[in-house]
Amino acid sequence: MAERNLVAQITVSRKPDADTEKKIMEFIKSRGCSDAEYVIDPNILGGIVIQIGNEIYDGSLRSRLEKIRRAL
Amino acid sequence: MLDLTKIGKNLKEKIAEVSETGDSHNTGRIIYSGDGIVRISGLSGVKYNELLNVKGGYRALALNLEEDSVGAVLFSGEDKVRFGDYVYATGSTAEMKVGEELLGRIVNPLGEPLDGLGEIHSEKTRPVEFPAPAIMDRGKVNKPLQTGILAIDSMIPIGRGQRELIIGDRQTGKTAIAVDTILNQKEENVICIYVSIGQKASSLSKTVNVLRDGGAMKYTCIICSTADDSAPMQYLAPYSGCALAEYFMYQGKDVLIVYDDLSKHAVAYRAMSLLLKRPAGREAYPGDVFYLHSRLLERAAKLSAEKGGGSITALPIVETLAGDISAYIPTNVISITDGQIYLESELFNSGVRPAVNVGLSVSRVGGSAQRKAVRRISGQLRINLAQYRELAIFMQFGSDLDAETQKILSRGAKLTNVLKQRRYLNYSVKEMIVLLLTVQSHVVDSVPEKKIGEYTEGLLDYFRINRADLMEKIDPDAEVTEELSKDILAAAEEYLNYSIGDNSQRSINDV
Repeated sequence: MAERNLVAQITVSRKPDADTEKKIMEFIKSRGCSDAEYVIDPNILGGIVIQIGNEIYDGSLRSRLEKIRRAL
Repeated sequence: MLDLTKIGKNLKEKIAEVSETGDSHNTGRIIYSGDGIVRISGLSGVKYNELLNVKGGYRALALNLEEDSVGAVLFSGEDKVRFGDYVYATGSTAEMKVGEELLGRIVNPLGEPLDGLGEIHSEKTRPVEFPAPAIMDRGKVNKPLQTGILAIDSMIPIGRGQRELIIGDRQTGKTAIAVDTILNQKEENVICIYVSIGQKASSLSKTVNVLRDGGAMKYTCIICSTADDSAPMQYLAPYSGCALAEYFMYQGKDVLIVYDDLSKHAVAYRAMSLLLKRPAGREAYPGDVFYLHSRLLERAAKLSAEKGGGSITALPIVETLAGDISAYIPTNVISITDGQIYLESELFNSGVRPAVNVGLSVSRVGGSAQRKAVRRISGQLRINLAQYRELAIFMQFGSDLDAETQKILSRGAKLTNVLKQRRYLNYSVKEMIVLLLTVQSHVVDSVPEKKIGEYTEGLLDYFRINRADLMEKIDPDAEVTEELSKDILAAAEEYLNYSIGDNSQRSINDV
């Protein structure tokens, strides 16, 4: 998939600092993305959700709590 | 007192078990939802038959993979999913919980308990769709599956690993035969699985009670999808049941599985296919409705000794409309199975129960699995009955009949009567041998036709109590010797004299 010119959608609970942002850019570039688009959504409580095309990387606090709830 | 520190520790351990890393999902979003069908955009790389998780904890099955969308059917929550909801691919096909823990339980096609007896603690699962055993892995059907029903075990014998269709109109006792067969496996070391597909909950609860009261639940699992379950649930039920059966078969055990019934299964599949906009064929069934049942029934097999020698015997049930066995689904399933038991409402209503039409019923492989003694005696039975039916037509002309013909007619009528059997009254192999020997001999000539049922029932009691020594001598795996059959007939005559004497005395007293 050489010609992927995707914009990653990044959901965070609050704006990340510059250092984190750099790490995020590195990550999405390694997945073939050129640009990132930020969405601030306090509902995810914390952490980060990155969506690139059909792929979602869910590292939010909310989904982790949900997992714990299911395990109990 | 509650040990709070212990609870806290347990909780901590459990939380520690939950993985901390965020997972990556292949996702899509719902772009259409209606009639239990969802269309999803995205989900690149999803497989056919893959299980999907819809946001909110609902599950769906991916069935149509198209250029720009994926068509899937929802198992539940069709009124809850919304446009734009995320759908996650699970990466695995639908799986069924398996294990000994499922015996005695009632579960849905995904292995979730429905009987309120608590969670099923089994870690083992099997894919719901699984390839049938290869040709070289199969063995010869050589052991009988005793139904305990005289008409079937003598003339339409079923072997372990066979697929025998039970077909007939509504209210002809199809389920009764299947349930009686399950009840008869108590001493036979056969695990039973009863799959209910789209049945009324009321009739299913009746069946459950019969099995429970008969003590059959110990070795039986019921996979249940009722008429109010979604079409995909009904579609999945027989495959789930088969997955559980395979788990036992590959351990070398013998399994009996009843699919009740496959006509409703085809209807559920038709509903799904039409909603998925697949082209409709004959009777509006989709083109692959034959494959739907053939791939299911091919999984019933007898394994070779090297593979453990286990078996799955399948008893699919198909309901016909007005006795029409040339409809689409009946002809399909007839051609897949190794024979059929054909039930007729006319027979049923005239009191012949089980209402087996002996002329139209066949078993293509069971004969070689029949016990030696029974095979020999019942071969004669088929001929006698055929002869009787042929002559019975002439009888209707009312012409004078010679003594020989009359004898055949009266014996035939009695034979038909002996084949009537009350429900839950299963015969053992030895009892069948005694019955078959007696009713085909001169002994019954002096029994009036109306009394024959009474006579045979009493006869079996007499053998059980007074002539246990003779019963002991019968070896089902060897031919009945001349001497033994003489002894049996003598004993039958003995009982006849005794019972007739008894009756005549009673009738005198009554007068």
